[in-house]
Amino acid sequence: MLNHTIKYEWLNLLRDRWVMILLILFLGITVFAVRNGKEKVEDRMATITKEKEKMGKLDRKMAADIDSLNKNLKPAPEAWKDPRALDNIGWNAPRVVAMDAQPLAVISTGQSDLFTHYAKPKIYGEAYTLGFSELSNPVQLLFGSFDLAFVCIYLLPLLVLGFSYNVLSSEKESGVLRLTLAQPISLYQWLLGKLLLRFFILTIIVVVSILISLTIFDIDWLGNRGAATKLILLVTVYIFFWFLISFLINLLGNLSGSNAVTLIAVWVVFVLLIPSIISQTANSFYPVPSRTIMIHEYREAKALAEKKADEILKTYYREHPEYAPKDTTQQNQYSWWLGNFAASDVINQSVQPVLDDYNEALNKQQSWVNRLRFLSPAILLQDGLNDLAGTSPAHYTDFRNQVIAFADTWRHYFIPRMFNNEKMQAEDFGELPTHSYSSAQVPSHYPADLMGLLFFLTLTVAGSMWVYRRNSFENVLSV
Amino acid sequence: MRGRQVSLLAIQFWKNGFQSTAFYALLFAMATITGYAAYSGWQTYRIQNTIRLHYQQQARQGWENNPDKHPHRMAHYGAFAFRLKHPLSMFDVGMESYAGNAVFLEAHKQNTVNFSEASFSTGLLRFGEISLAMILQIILPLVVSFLGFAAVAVERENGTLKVLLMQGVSWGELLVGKSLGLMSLALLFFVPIGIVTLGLIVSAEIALTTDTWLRYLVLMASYLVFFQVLCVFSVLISATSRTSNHALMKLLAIWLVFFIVLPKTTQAIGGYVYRSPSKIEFETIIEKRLVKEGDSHNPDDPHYVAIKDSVLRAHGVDSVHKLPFNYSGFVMREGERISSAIYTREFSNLLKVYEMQNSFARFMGFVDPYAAIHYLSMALSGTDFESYIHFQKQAEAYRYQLAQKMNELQMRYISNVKPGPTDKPYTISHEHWKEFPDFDYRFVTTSSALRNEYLTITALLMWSVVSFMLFVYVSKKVKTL
Repeated sequence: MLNHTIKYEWLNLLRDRWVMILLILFLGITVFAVRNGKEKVEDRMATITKEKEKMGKLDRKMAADIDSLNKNLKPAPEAWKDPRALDNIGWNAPRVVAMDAQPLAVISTGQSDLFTHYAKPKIYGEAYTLGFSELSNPVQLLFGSFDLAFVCIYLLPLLVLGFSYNVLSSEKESGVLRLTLAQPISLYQWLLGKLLLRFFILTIIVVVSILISLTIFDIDWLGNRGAATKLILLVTVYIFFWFLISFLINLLGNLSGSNAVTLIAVWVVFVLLIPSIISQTANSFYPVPSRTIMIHEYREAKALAEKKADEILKTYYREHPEYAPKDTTQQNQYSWWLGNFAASDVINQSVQPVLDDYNEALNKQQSWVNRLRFLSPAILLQDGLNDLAGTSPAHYTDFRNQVIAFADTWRHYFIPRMFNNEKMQAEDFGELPTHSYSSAQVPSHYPADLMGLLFFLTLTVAGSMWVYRRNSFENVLSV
Repeated sequence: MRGRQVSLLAIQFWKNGFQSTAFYALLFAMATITGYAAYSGWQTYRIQNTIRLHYQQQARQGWENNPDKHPHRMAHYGAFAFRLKHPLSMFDVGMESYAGNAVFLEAHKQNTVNFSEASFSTGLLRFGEISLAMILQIILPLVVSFLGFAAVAVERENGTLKVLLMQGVSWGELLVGKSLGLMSLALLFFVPIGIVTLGLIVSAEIALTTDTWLRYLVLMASYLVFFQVLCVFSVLISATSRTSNHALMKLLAIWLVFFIVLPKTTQAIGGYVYRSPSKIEFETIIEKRLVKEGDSHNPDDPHYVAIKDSVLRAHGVDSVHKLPFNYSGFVMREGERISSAIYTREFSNLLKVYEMQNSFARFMGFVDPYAAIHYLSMALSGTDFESYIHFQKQAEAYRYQLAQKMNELQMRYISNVKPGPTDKPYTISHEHWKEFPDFDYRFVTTSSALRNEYLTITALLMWSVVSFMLFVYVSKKVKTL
């Protein structure tokens, strides 16, 4: 009997032109969304390539210049332009540390419109003052990107609701329900069957649309099957959650209008209100002052350090006897820089508490958000998608930290050589330290996000069973 | 049209509203979220203002307490510009979380566009923020749909519509009466938010000017027009639907499309049509222009060689050391003038691109009343794109003055002869630091905010006029059954 119902429901849906319209509409939306993501990723990669090319060109030019200077083919340039001076290399020829886009970066813009994806740490200058923020139209940021994540988080639930809000109520309102329930069939199974069918159809439409869009824009999802499967799994579970919510509301046995209002209210709460409240409470519990203020603190420390520059260098030599000039008759050509390094160590030490305060507040905000994300399936999906796309806040923090660590490596390549009063040689360019970013260290949120969504599923199933037990047939049938 | 009939219908609608328990649940939910939004707005305002005041004073003290120094070192010591939050930002947060509220200013460097506050946020900011304005713009329209969908349709379903019309009530009276009833229910939600906003701005720490009052009044008037449009449309849709169920479905669909999907889509299309440069592209353009126009750090640069020759000729001397003023101060003044002009030009080009991107959404005001009120509300609350740009421009002007003032001090007081290796470096008295005034932020005036928003204001008024025209049209064409 149930098979019969499902079969006819299937035939009915197939003849419904809405299914076709939905397919085309959804495909169109998905293509537009993936296109937007693709454009951002292409810009990002193009910038990185350009920067790396620029660096290579400069390296080759400087190496050639050093060669001709060593062979006395060229007059020696002024000190501040001489490529043989290590400080000029450390300052003017920084390495490009780039954060390449991950294969599925197109699916979610995440934080990628806020930050630049490369940095060029120099021999001097504090790492945190490196500009990581991207130049963007703040109005665009306010409205956010129309990417696949937006389509999935916001629009998919609405499609589900539109597709299912009146499955029970319309039959009730047209009087067919009494007839159906006169058959040997359980209301629970019958409704679940109808909704599962719709779930399968919608899921197929969504999955096919996503895969087609990814294919159109040359995203190698077959080569990244693992990530693609994770994406599909997450989205499917999310769709299923909304179907179950609809199932639960349908079971209450209210009229179509009332179902629609309730479902929209649930959507507003999960998608609009809860995420905003969590984000705002994070800000008011753990306020982070403007970044500019950090510069202020840094400046104060610097002014203090400048006052005692000589003293600082003396202490520095005491602490690093290996750097103390061996041959005191010869003037070190980098003496200005060496004083600077020593001073900047002192500055960094005194600014550290300020930095720590910042990081602590940011970490607290983030862990507040991480904990409370289990309150809304929409946040879980966003988090999971950002995780797959490599555009989550954690990825950017990790990148920043790696850049800061590399800045230190870069500096420490030069410092001992400068204390030794060495010069740059053409062949040294191959030996300059480099760094390629890897996100292997970023702990994946994906498993927890998926578990969270599954937990919501279970909760909804339990809720619907409870409603079913409590609600009598009479209640459901009465209009 | 008879006033008595209309008011009877309106009063009956109002009373009906209170019949259902769902209405009280709605009232409670709205009161809760309004309370939350008000608290959150006030809290953010207070925290940010305290931080700003504290650091503004510290930064100024730091500036004034500098010892005797070379003026150019002061130009690099730099200053800070802090943006005052408008009291109405407690009502509409607008772009506050995305636009920086403080910039560091020094000679030669335009740091203005470097800081976006959103980079200091968790990923959840992208879900939006709850503010009193957001409630009025997104949630309350949904509530109006819930309250209004049945207005006429339910009378049709119950058969009472025929009775009403037979008793001599005209369609015009019916529609106006129901709309007024719905409007009064909407006001039940709106007026408390208006009063709360008033309380917030009165409690703000800065003295209220007539400008703020004007903003507040125009803001509230705009929302009144917005709700008038929404109420009339809800009633009209109810009147033209066969059943109340159909009316509800139509209203919900309209809400989803016009309040959720369309705004995001139009902004995305704006970004798609007009591509804005990335930071590196923007910086590269400026660098190229600078090299083309003259590099003040390069002694052989033709532009500066020419200047040097003409200055020497004008003063009838053969060396820059014989000039009656400090020559490097003069060169830096010239360099600052050039680089600042280039930057200002390129920045305004960049802003043009942004404005083109935004213009899509702005024109959308004629299609989508939400877009109109969204932009207008941000502008009147001092949290829109214009306010942000206004700050950036003031900060850049201040930076320019700072750099040039220091260059002029250098020209006047620093000797033209280089100090010898054993001489102390040249300095000037720290008394001069106090002479340079602190940055004083001024809000966009209400009149220029309104001028900027002429499109959205026109759109909103157009919606109001159209809704009245539809009143007349529908009351003539609508069928009773």
